[in-house]
Amino acid sequence: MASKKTRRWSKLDNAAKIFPSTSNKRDTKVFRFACELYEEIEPHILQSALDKTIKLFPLYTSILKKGLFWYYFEASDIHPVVKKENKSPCSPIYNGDRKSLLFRVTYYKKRINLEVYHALTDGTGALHFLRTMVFYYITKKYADDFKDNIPTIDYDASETQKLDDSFLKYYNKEKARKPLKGQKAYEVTGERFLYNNINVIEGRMSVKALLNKAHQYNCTLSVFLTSILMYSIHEQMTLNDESKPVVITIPVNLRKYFPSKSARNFFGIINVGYNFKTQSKKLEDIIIYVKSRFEEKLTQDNLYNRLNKLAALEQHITAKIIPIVLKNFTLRLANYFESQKITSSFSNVGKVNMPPKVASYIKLFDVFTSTKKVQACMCSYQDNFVISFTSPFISSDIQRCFFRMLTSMGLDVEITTSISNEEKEEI
Amino acid sequence: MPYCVKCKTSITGNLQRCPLCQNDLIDNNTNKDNIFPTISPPKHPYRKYIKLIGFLTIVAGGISIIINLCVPTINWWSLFVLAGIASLWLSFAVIIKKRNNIPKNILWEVLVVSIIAIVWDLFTGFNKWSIDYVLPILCSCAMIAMAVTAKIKKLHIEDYIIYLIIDSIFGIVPLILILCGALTVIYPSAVCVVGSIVSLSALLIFEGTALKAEIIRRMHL
Repeated sequence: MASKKTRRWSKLDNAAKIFPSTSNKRDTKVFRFACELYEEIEPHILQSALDKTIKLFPLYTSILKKGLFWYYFEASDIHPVVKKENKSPCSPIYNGDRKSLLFRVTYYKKRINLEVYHALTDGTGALHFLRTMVFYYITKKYADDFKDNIPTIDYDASETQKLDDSFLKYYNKEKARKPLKGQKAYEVTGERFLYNNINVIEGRMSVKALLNKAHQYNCTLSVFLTSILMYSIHEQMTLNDESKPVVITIPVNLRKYFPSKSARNFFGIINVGYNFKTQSKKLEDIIIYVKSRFEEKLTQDNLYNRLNKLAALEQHITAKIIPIVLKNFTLRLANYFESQKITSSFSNVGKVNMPPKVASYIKLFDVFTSTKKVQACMCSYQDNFVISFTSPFISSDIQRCFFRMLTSMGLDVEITTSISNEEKEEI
Repeated sequence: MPYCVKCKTSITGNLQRCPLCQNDLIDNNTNKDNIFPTISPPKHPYRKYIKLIGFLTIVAGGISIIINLCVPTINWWSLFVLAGIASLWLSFAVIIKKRNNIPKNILWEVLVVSIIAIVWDLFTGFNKWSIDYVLPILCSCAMIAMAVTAKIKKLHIEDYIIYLIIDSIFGIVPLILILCGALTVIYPSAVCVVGSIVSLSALLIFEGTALKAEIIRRMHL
């Protein structure tokens, strides 16, 4: 049957171009945002909230297709359906042979989960989607409480602004400089779960208490927690391992430095490395060092250089005319070498806000991502600060050390996990 | 609330022991809801049958080699058996790998089976039956199969147009062979080439816009 209108399509943004080439069953490049309410989720209300939300975010109707030179998005008429959570967290979404959407919405007990394939958007973009969906859910479910006083969501962007490729917008051919070389970092190893499962360990604590502690050490929350993560990783290292540095990669939301309302990817990364052989092993010293590196690297100039370098790679004519099969192979190889320079990743999404009228129905937000290494993601909502570790390794020593450090400083931490010890014995 | 004395953390979820240090929890009597569901391992019901058949074919291959060695004959017929088994498994593997996308599957099968046929032909004296008959018949059948699949599954033209284009291009390959004089029997190839040209023209005439749009999309830089 011939369709009269041809489907809308769009190119992938600069960051997204890497993901289809390098995602596989072990590293699915899927991340999840979850929102926990105080009552069990009703599927049909969630479904209608999703139907309303997707009209505001047309990018989410896209499927991924393979061209001769690049991957691209094509709008589809697939209708997303909410399901009860029944798969391992961050299980694969993109399958080259199957026509499917690049996100999934699931629910379990009191939680609404949004899992997104990273080619579609980054954390900030996905959070907008989830907030809008949760907003519609709450206003419909508790409609009686609102009556005539219907609140509005605060994401004000036109459709073109949302679909903006901000990497391209800020690319300046004249200013691109040569890349720096890195060295091999210490990599966490160990026995893995079967079936490429990952374990999620979440810790919930008070934002105020955490901020107090960070101020006692005279640093920001991100610096404080990054340092504790480095310390915890070091606790598991042998003397021999210390010859390689512990390198933490930290994604940065570029929208804070370069104005953009894009609902797609627009993030950069900074890497902070610490050499436990040559540098002090004390937490206080780690914090001082990490703080200075953050100040040095989190500048508009530095982030712009990296953005420009990556955009230049993409825009170069030789990169463009290489067929996609060769590109995939090259990107996978480059990704393999790059990942040897990273020990772990630490992603702070920051504070999540909701309109005041719906705020009281929400308990917390949670975020985590698929990984081949140990990775930490965090976000905060009102006074609930949630750090989620994801790891394909059966051992939870790094997480144990991390949380024990926080509790030994006097913080109250509540832990939960996705794979219990009994299940660990079976898997 | 369940609590771990060693880690000094409280625990949410229906857990018997601390997820961080695996020690016992105190105050574990309160009935708590899990935050995450228990996931059962993935099921692959057909895998064991495939493994069994694979094993049996290897056994059959091994037996044929032994019989060939023991019973005095002129030629190594067991090699034919082995090559046959390998070809079958190769085609089968392609079907399994691309089972989610039927037009893509058809295209890959045409490619793989054509190559297998040509290799067989080359090793059995190159009587040209592969390029005379197999190649054009496969391409023609593929075009028909794709059209039928599209009708049955009610596919949109955008979903399979690229495979139709590629297959029609495959159908032009016999033309090159005809012009080079490499063929001994011309009429199957002629039918295939004409069929390709007709289907390409039909695409251009009836689905010209979709064709152009698809080509722009797939070839964008």
